[in-house]
Amino acid sequence: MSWLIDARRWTMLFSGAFILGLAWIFLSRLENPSGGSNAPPNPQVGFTAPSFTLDSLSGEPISLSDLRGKVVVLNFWASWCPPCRAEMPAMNAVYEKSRDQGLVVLGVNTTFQDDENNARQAIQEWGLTFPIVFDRDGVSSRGYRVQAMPTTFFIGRDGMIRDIVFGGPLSEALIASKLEILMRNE
Amino acid sequence: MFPVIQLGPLSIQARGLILLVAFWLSAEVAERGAKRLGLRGEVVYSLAFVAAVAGVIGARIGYVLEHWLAYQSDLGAIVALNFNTLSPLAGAIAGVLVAYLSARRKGLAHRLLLDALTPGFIVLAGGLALADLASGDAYGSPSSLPWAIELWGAARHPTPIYQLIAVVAIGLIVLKTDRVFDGARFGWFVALSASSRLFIEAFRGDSETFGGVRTAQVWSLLVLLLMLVLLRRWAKSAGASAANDGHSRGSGNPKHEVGHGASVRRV
Repeated sequence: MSWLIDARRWTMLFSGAFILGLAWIFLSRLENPSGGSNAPPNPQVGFTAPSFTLDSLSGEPISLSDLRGKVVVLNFWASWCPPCRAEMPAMNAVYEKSRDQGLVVLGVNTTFQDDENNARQAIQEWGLTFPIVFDRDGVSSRGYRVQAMPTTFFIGRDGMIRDIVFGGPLSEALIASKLEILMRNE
Repeated sequence: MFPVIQLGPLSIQARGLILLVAFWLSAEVAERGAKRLGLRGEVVYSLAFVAAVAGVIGARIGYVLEHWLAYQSDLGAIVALNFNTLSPLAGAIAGVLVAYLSARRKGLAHRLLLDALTPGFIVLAGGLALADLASGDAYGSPSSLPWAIELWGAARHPTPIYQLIAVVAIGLIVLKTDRVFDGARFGWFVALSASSRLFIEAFRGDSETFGGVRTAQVWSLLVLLLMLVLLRRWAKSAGASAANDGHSRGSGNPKHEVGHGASVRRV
C-alpha cells in the first residue's frame, strides 16, 4: 500500500472521502425531521403508541388517547407473574411522587391469560392507587406485541413511545431514570 | 422479527442473546486470529474477557451517573443490572481503556493486537446487524423497492440486512487483503465500517437528527477521515522502520522485532 505514503494519492483519497461524504450527508438529510407525531401507531420506540380503550377497576372505560399531554408509563402485567408483583410497589411509589407533575402509570392486566378475581385481589392487597385496566380479549396486549411479562412502555406527552423495558422487576430508580427527560419536556 | 424468544416459562430478549453469542464467537475468532499473527491466543482471549467485563461495568456506571438524581435515593438499585440501563458510550470507553492498559502491561504491540482482534470485531459487527434484524431496531425508512420488508406498519428498507451484507463484504476485503503493515487490517476495517454506516444511515427510519442532518453520518465521516490519517501515519512509520531495518542490517545492528519500531514484544 505504498500509495498511502504517496502524498498526492493520499490527498486525493482524503479529499474525495471528505467531499463525497459531505455531499451524501447533504443529499440524505431529512426535510422534516420532526415527523414523529405523523408516524403510524406501532409498539416501537419512535412511533405513536397504539391507542386502546379498556375497562378500569370501576368498570369505567379508559382510553390511552385521552392521556395525551401526560407522560404515561404503560405496564402490562399478570397476577401470576412474580416480577410483575415485585415491581408494583415501585410503580405506585413513582406514580404517587410525580402524578401532580403530569405522570400517569397505567397498568394493563393481561386478563385473557390471568384470573380477573386474582388480579383484583392483588390490586387491593398492594394498595395500588394508579389506574388499572383489564385486557379481557387480549387485543390490546397483542397490539403491543407483549411477549415477555412484565413489559413496560414509556410514553411522552406527545403520545410517542420513548423507551421499552422487557421483563422486570423494575426498581423505583430505574423507572425514575427513564422518566427524567420525559417529565422535563413540556 | 423475534424480539423475545420464549423458552417455556423463560422469556429471553433475542437481541441480548444474539449479542452474547456474537461476543463469545468473536472472542474465539480473535483467539485464532492472534495465533495466526504469532501472538498467544489465550492472552488475547483473556484481554477480550477483561475488556468485556470492564465494558459492562463502565456502561452501568455511566448510566447511573447520567441518571444520578434517580439513583441517589436508591443506591441498592445500582447493582440491579438490566439490559436497558447501560450507557453504550461509557461502556465502549471503559472497555477500550482497560484493554489498552492491559495490553500495555502485557507488553503487547497495540497495532498488531488490533489486527489480531479484527476478525473478532467483524463477527461482532455481524452479530449486531443480526440482533437489530431480530429485534426490529435500526429499522429502515419506508420504501417501494421490491426487496423492501414489511415492518412497523410499512414496507421499509431492510437496513439491518444492508448492514449484514456490508459486514460480509468488509470482512472479505479486509481479511483477503495482505497485511502490509501493523494496524492495516484494523485501520481498513474501521474506515470501511464508517463508510458503510455513512452510506446506510441514509436509508434508516430511526436516525437522530440535528437540523435535519443525521448525526450518525457526521460521526461516521469524522471516524473515516481520522482513520485515513492514522493509516497514512502507520504506513509511513512502517516504511521508515523497514528502511531503518535495511540500514541496520547493513551496519550489523540488531533489528527490531515489530515493524513500527516500538519497543514491544510478541507474547
